[in-house]
Amino acid sequence: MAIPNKATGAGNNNAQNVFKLTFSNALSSAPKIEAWDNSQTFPAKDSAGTTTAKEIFTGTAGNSSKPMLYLAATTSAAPGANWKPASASAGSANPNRLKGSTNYVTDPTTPGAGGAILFNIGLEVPYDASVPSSSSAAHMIQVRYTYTGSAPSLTWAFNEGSEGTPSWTTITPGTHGLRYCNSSTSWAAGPYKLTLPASGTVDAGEIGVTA
Amino acid sequence: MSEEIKETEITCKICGRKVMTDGSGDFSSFICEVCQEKANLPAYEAEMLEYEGGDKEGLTESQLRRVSFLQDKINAVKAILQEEEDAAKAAEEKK
Repeated sequence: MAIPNKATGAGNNNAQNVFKLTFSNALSSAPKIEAWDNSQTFPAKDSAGTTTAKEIFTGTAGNSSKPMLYLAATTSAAPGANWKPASASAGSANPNRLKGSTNYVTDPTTPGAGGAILFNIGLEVPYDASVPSSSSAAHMIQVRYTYTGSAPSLTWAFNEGSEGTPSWTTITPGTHGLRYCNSSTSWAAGPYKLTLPASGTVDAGEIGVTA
Repeated sequence: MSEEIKETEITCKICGRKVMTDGSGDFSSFICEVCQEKANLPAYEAEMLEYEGGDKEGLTESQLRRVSFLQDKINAVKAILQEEEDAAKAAEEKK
């Protein structure tokens, strides 16, 4: 298996082993997972998030101006069925909708050296979202962490195996990206599309990592 | 039977505004909506310029909706900034 491929269980599913972030050295507090605008053209990325002005964060009239991304920290347990939060909670919550440092998720653990956190992520898009979405949905996932002593190096990965027997493949930030797609997407050949509904919202049925 | 929702008061690390939340976790990096919207203003204006630089006739329906949304956002943030400026001036005059 290799990139591009589907991240097993990603989205509004009861899956614990979807994305993994490993820290080479111990942290001194629980890491926080955030999402911000990416003003660069993929695969380039900003060094750090500063704004949440893109439509993926501002929402539209069709979803009552809600952030579209949602995330659950699953390090300690699976998120449960249909875990998508209806709306964003101010500050931290688990799960939560994502919008910079205004709405984010704190992992329930503080990893030691070589420790890892797990998370699942989803996207809910309203019918009236901008098309094409190449700029309006350009975002990056950012983890905020603290440490004492040596800085940790971080290794991002996604699960290409099963929920019960995960097989982790490394993701390289600035090279690989996430695609939020329809169910039954051909991850080897594409197309990588999420079809908007005539009304209401649609959740990405599959999420994968692509070059 | 309704479940009790536990609320916590959290503080914006930029302006000190207090906000109630039903969330949990580490709130030390919290930035309130108002401060984030102020930080977003240049990005809203830059995106608006992209649309204004092009031919409005050629914009899709979703792009036209976004232009209207951006204009509302820009006006709202500028109104907040103006209010803050007026309040600061009034406080200065009182001295």
